Amino acid sequence: MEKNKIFLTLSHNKETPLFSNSTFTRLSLLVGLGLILFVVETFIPRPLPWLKPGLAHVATLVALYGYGSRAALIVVVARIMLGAIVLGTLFNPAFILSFSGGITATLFMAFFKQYFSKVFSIFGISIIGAVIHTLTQLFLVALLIVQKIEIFYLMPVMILSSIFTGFVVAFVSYLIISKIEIISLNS
Amino acid sequence: MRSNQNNFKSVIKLLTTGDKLLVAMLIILGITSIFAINKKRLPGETCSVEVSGEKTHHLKLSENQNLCVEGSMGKTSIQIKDNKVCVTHSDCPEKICVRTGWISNVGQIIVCVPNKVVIKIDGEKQDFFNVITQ
Repeated sequence: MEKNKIFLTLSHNKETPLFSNSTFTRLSLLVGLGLILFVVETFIPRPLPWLKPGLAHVATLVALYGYGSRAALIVVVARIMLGAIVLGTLFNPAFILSFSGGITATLFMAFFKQYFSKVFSIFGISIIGAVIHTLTQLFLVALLIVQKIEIFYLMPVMILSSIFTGFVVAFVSYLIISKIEIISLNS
Repeated sequence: MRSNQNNFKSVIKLLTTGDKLLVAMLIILGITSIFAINKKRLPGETCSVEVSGEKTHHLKLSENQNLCVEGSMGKTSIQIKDNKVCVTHSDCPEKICVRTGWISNVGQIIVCVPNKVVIKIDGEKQDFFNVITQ
């Protein structure tokens, strides 16, 4: 099982690189995984255009739990940039929403994982991320695009659906993380 | 390898107390925001009346008045009072339009299908259905 293990190689020492080569490769694979999920889930029919399962955050969560906050942030930024290029939405309003939502959600997840890891498991962290993601987007839409208070009519739908999607994403990430046995290394 | 990984009950056991409290708080927040939002409906300022698909009247809700339109089955009496609209009488058999009662908020609508009368409260449509977030 030795080769299945992913080791924590994040280094704060400036003389050694931030990530080892093997970690770097695995992070690239995670970006690829997130990119595929990101693109594929745009083809899933949804009841409302802005209700997305957010499955791409599986990659973020795995990176966060396997390699730490910086890795998660790098994975999320790379995934969103590449996803925007693939979908052809680079630098349009949807991209700005996606980018800011993704980064804020990842920062919150990293913060809660760092300081409240005894309070919240991966499920709680993921639900926090999903809720923060949708709320950031909602605030940005209200501020930049629609500029109306009525957009907050969507808030109950957003909160309740992101509890569900956050749970699903956490479940998938949990299955992946427990398969590659990094939970025991990390905690 | 953990056994029973796909079992839902074993997943529930993984949740910490903090997780459960978080989910409970978010559900409460979501449900209370439904009630908070329902109170804040936008009152409309004008209403339009359509008969057989054609717009026949455009009325201000601030002026109290009674109106009678001729639909395909008979007369429909519309009353405007205190910024609200209702159908007081209709010659249609089911009287669903009468039972709809008073409407006053943007987007609300009274429809009389047999008489082909539609009363809408006008106002700016909220176009967030056009906003695609990704």
